[in-house]
Amino acid sequence: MMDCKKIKKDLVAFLYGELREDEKELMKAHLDACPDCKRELQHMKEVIKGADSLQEDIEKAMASVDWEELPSRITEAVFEKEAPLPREPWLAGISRFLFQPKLKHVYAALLIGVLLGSIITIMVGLLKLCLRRKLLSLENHGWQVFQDSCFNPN
Amino acid sequence: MEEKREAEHEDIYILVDKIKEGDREAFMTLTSLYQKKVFLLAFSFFRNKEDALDIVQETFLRLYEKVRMFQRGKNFQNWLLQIAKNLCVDYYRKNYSKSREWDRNKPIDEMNLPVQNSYDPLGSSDLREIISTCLKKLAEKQRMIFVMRHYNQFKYREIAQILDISLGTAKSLHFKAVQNLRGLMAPYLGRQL
Repeated sequence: MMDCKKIKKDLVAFLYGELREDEKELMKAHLDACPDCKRELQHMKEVIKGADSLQEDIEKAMASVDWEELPSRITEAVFEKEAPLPREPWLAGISRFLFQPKLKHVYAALLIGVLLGSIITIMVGLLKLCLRRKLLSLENHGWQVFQDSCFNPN
Repeated sequence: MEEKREAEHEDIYILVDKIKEGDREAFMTLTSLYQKKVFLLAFSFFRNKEDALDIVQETFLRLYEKVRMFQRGKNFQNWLLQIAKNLCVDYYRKNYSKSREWDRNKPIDEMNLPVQNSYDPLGSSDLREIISTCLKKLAEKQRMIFVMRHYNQFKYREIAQILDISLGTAKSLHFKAVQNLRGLMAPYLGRQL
């Protein structure tokens, strides 16, 4: 049995159809078994029914507006007041261009390129260092062999 | 379905681009497409036609001023309703809540708990009057969420985007709004809801 406290918090979401299927099933099972939560649900329903009663006012208000005429009235007012669209500051324009969402792939590719380039450069550097050390040790070894052959012929 | 929605978005983006160039026709088309949504939000919030119409006009004026800030990829309707919502709140604070100055800086999830024992007879048994009065007593954030969910029929996900809050906060504020409405309605109805 689920916790009544949690159930009560989800009642509103349940009434508005905002619960997931599994949550809905749990809720229904709980309500079947818990008269207290069921009563709570009834009370919430009454509030929602009360809110529904305002729907008529909204519909009346919507019907009383001249929707055909309103856009031209608003457009008239806006364009009279704002005639030319305010100029965009150049810095804002540049930043808007640089941070536009469609460039995110370009930035991602650039970042990957820089990372790969850095890794390759580091690896090549390390390889060069190793080779140089190897050559140095070979040179030293050769010199040693020469010295040995000169001073200790036997 | 998804493709249709994307095509609709594309049409809106084209209109927005034209408005950025100062196209009057495009502006009028966009206004006629969204005027009812803005009105519905404002009217549900204020329950006053003239105030709602003022908000509609002011919203589209702001839209024109801010249109360059709108970027492709964003949901235009949510962006526009965010402007409308901010205007509603400002208008409400300026014209309605003079007696509720303390409400101004309250955190969004703070709730105005109803006074449970104050019996305030309305003199009318009209449920519409009761709910209308009680709605006005809700904290503005709760009221906004309630009207958006109930009258505009936005999902919590959309409300969260418009109000720039988390999904959990939207759900919890909606719950608090209904719970408070219930408490506020009880004395008017003369019984415990």
